[in-house]
Amino acid sequence: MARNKESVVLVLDVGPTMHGILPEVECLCTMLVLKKLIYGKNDEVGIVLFGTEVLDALVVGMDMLIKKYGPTNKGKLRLCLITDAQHPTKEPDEGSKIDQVNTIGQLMKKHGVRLDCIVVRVNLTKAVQQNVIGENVDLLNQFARNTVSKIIHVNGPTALLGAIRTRSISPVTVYRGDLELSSSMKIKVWVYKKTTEEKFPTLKKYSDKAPLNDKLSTHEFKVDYEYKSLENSHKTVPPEQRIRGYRYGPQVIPISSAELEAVKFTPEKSVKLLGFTDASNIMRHYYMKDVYVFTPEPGNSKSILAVSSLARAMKEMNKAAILRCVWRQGQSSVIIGVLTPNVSSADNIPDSFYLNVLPFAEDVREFQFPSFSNLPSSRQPNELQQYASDNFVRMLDLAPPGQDELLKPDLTPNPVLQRFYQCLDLRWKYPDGELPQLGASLLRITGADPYFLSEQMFEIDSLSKQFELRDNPKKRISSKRFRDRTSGSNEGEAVAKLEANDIPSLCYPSVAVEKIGDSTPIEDFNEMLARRDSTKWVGKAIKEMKDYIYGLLENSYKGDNHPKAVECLIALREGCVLEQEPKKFNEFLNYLHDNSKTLDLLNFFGMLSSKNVTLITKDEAADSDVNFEEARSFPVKKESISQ
Amino acid sequence: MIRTTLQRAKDAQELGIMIELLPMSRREFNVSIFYSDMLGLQGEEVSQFLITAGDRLEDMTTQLRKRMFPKRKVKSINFVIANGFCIQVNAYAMVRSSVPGSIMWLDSVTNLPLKIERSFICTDTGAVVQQPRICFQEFKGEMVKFTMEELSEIKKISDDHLHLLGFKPLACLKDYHNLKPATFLYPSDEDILGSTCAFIALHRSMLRLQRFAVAFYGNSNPHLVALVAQDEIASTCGQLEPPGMHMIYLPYSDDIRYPEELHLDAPIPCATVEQVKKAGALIKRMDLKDFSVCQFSNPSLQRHYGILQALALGEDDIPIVKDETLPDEEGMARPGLVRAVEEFKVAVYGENHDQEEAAKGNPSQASRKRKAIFEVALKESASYDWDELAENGKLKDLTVMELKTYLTAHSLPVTGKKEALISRILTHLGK
Repeated sequence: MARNKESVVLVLDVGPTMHGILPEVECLCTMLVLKKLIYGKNDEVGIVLFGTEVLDALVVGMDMLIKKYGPTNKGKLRLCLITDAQHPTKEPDEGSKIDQVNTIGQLMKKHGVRLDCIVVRVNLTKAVQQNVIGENVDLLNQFARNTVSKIIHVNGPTALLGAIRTRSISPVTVYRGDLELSSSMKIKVWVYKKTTEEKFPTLKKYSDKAPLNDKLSTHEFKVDYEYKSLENSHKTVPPEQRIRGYRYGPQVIPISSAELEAVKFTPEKSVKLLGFTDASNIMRHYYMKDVYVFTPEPGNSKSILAVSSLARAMKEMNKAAILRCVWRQGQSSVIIGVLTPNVSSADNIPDSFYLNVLPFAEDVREFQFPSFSNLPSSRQPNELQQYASDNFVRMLDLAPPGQDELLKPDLTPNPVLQRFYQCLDLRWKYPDGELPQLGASLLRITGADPYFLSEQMFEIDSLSKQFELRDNPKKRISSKRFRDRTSGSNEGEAVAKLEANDIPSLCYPSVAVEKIGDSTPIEDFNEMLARRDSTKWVGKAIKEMKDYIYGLLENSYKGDNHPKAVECLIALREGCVLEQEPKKFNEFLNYLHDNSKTLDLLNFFGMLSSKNVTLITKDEAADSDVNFEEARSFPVKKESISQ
Repeated sequence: MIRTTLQRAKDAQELGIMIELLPMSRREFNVSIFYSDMLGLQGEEVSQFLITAGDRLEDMTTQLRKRMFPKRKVKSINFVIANGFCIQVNAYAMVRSSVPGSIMWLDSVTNLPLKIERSFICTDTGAVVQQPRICFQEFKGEMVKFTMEELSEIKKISDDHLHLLGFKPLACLKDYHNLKPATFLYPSDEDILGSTCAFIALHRSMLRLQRFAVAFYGNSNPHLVALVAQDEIASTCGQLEPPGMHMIYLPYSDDIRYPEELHLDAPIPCATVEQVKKAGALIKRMDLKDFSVCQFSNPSLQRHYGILQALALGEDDIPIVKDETLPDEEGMARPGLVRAVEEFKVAVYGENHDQEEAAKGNPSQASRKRKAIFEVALKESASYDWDELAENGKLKDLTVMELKTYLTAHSLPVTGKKEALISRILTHLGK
């Protein structure tokens, strides 16, 4: 029998009070079995259903385990009880209930059976039952005192789904050895991982090349990596001819692994204390990785005492310890971590420490952000807004005093993994079936509980009334956001409802100008000139501006458009100087002058000369064939010639 | 002149050249006269400019000492607070493990970089397939197939917004509720006007009421997250902690283990008040004055950079990097501290701990057993003439157990089939 083989008996309460939550119980048990089918193929699962008394059911479960495995079993034995503890336990024929519990406890201890009790708290209909539950829970606690057992209280379907570790992983120590307080004082500890992310399983790639009816085909792939030189892509470089290169500035430095091995940093295996500091000195967001737990060496009462007294003193004084850890001999990295006390609440569990990895100086990026108090007042909440926000934070409470904490990480299952295993099971049954959606209990993890929200409707409403949110018109709504809006909640509706009051008037749209409009012709013109994405824009801008000015002059009534035309002409002149296109301007001005009679432009040219708007000279732009004298005397001279 | 300058500046910016303006006289400096046009500042940015410019100047001076990372947002996230009430925040990676640069494979003869080609070869037919689109998981003895698209649909259980679920007192955030480095959130009005205002209000309320927010962040690896409000902490030399929220990734029940509950059979002794007091005295003595997170540089990384530099520049000596992470031996030898340690040791371990440990020096049960097996093997293997057996090819006539006695007696591995054992013996005998 495999050493890590586990035999579980699920002892499930199916009494009438449990009926509401049975779908989740089923879901939890299915998940446990599904994972065993993948990860623990040698494990065995038994089920005991009961509708009355907890103790009887436990006796039956124990009996199953002992009868089936007896003394030969070397694997782990576990009883998993799920109940709401609402059915009263009757007095046994002889002795008291406590005696009975102790007898069962002795038996469990003898056979090394673990007991996990999950007590479901559902809404009670009768107050009388409160006493019954109290008594039953006391009895279960009595078990915990004598045996290896654990009681978990869950307050809803979501927490129930996360109440059992459905995949059992045998714990492995990261380090066994001394925690060195100083060179003379050492504590023997074992270090384990406390948290590790359970990853989405890696699926194998399926090959459909082999014939379907061939039973022997594996349908698998072999992944082959070939290292080829860049010049000659037909030549494969053998492994012994490859060498690692590291970047050093623009160069790549080849370093063989033997070279690196010979000179790299190799600290001694050890866990050393650097000192203590105030717990508040280490902010929560500096915790870098998954967490370790330091337990005293099992069975070593001196270590248990030392860890316990240190942990309790640290907790009392609100201190944390800084440690330097090298878990294995020959590892090339060092960890600086913060050790925080974990004072145990149960009599039979020793005190321990948690260790979180802290960043090194190289790992921290010192980005600066504007202080909130320095932001303009339009971005600061006013008193009413702050009041609404305070109320909102106070009322949307997931851990109200006197009640169980909701969405406790310790009791919240990973919805992605849950869904994957459900899909796997369904796919196995119906290979062409659709993938199922996320169940209601799991949806409580991904979004707020609608029932919970409806209770807090007032706070939510007053919060959304106080704050006016709207899309920034400066930015075009990207197709992605737009899609989110339409598919998402009624978000868009709410935004549309809100009115803009204090939105500052905005500057030019950042959208590129492609045409000279009537409202801001000069800006449009300059914007077009400045475009660099194509060479056509300069020519286009000048042409459009000429047309625009001509249009102004043509449609002018008693010279009412003339001032605007002058402005535009000045802008056109500047633009032509800047872009070194003097001829285009000079030609246009001459053209206007030639048509001055028909358009009645005498007044217009007067304004031009008063503002010193002349032809563009050679000095301003080399391409011009107009000299300074000609330019200055432009309208006059022109007239003299024409006359 | 001004226009030409502006045009040049604009051209430069379009070519991807950043113009950083660091005004030296902060009081009288008016950005809107000239520089706002040059930098393309708009609307409120003008008024905010001086504030950020001051920060940037301080940034430059503090960042010069180590590897620079441009301040770049990782992502813009929509933070859904309640039905239809959604603000925008930008996410920044403030703390991430630094690693010694990426590796590039080279041809050791020519020192030219190599190109890596991956190919999938069907184990049944040997055919090369470009990119397999179907995956399978073995389940109940069958292959259950999923396409890549289906797998990504299974993983996508929510949109990639951040959904607020509620608030909890800070005490509910335990020390073991951690998986990976936190992400920093700072509000942005870029897409949704009014985001900053709402964010600041929530930030203040959370600080005042000592609460953190629980939210669900449904990106590619969906997680429950804790949003912990952090107030600004500034000193004379600049901002130490920027104001905003830190998004801490919470573990699921599947990710948490309970190794501390493993060994429950032994009776647990209880620490006395006296022992706790002695521990307290020790803590007081060993207090690290002015400890700040990340005051140490990573010795392994510094060593790597040192090696790289020495090799690159053809230097003979590899620069010695001081390991700052070792305990302060001098400080540890202070008489007051030594006394506190000694008192604590006596309090928890008893007077004669060292002698007891020395006396306990005898080997553990396991090693005693190992030794016994070794001696038996030595005796048994001595009864065979191994050289002769090997010479005559008679090793194969012995049983596996008999062969193993030789291997155990010579501390060789005893694993493998009979042929493997024989060949191992022959190698050891030098045949």
